[in-house]
Amino acid sequence: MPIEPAANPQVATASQDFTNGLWTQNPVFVQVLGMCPVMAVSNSAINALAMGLATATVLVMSNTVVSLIKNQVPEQARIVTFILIIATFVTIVDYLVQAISLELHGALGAFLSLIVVNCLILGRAEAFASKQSLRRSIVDALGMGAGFVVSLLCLGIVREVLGQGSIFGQDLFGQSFQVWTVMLLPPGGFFVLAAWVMLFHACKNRNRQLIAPPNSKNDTYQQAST
Amino acid sequence: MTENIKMTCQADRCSWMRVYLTLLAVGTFCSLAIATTYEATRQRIARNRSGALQNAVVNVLPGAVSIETFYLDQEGDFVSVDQTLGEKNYVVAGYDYRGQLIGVAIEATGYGYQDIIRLLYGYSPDQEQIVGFQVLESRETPGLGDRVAVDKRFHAQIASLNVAVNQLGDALLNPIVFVAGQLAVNPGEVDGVSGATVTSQAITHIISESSAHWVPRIKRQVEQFRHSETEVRNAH
Repeated sequence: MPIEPAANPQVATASQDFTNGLWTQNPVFVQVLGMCPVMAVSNSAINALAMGLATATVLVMSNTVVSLIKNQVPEQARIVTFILIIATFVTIVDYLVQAISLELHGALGAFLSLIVVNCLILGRAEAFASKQSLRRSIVDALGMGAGFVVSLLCLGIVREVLGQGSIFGQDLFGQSFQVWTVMLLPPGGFFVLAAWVMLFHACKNRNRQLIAPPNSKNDTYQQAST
Repeated sequence: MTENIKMTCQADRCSWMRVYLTLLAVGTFCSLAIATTYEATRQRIARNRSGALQNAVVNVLPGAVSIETFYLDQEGDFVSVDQTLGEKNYVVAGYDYRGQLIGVAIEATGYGYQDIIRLLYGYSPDQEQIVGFQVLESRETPGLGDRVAVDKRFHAQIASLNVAVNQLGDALLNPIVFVAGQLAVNPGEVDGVSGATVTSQAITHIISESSAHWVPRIKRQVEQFRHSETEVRNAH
């Protein structure tokens, strides 16, 4: 009888790294990081998508470079180097968005440049990419980026449908629809975020109970948050 | 003991050297990356900007197919230049396919509810009225103030404002005024969009100030805009 290799809990597979960002440690709904752009530019689906993609691009590029140079950077110069790299990629993305569409650039406004202070990106560079291999860092950035895009889209779609009666600029209900303007304003962002966080955690808890019956110990699922 | 101190100092200097070198290397890499992207996207961005301006001019001057930028010099004459809008003292004339002057697009800025509003409006010297307007840049409250940019009734009011000049030719016959809480009935009056009173008042004020400045000057020198029509026609 062949001996099965013991599964090492320390070594995560690529799919685990990816779903970690998308679901388990979702940057918006679980870690509650980068709230400023989440509130400010999720008032329409297209803005949310563009902001999410811009952030994810910066995240993937900065994680890649940080992981590549992690052994060369001395301890004292760590943070300043990471910030420099992140700021560079934010500037590059800013130019690219201007080249793609000025209208989009106008809609995202200052929040595009403010990606540089999104704690999600510095957080992943410091907590993950500076310690892990290149492959894992890229997968982690892709997962976190995807999680950020999906969460922003969740907010953007709901806020646009309720606040403007449209989705991606396409009218849904016709003239008779009474728009719910507060959904486009900051308070609407908080309401929608709260509703999504509630739904997200309800789903998570339900999954947990399905996998492990309520009586058994389910400590293993309560992942230590970083 | 002294040996020890010396060694730490050397190690310190070594690590500081490493910090300098790392920052230098990363800084060089970053500036190269930014400069390369800037060069690569520069033309595309410039094309986007001029395209956006052309679209806006055509939008506020219905029927225009070609545009030409003019600069108002010290003597009050309009001189044709290659410069685009964005700075003071520039206006853009729009011509139809035969080279006839349709009107002049004027950029104006002023304070809205939140921040500066930048807008473009079209003035037709022949009809002596404003024929269109478009908000180029605003940070007004979403759902309230920013509705002014798309409100049809408000657009129709602005885009039919009579801006005939008085007999002396130095001011508007009917200055543009904002009337709050009632409907506009007299020439030059504009009433607001409900829920966006401050922004509609701000836009009315911006257009009022700008047209009081520009319209008499353009009306006086209108031949200088027509003059270039022959050049445009010759160019075709």
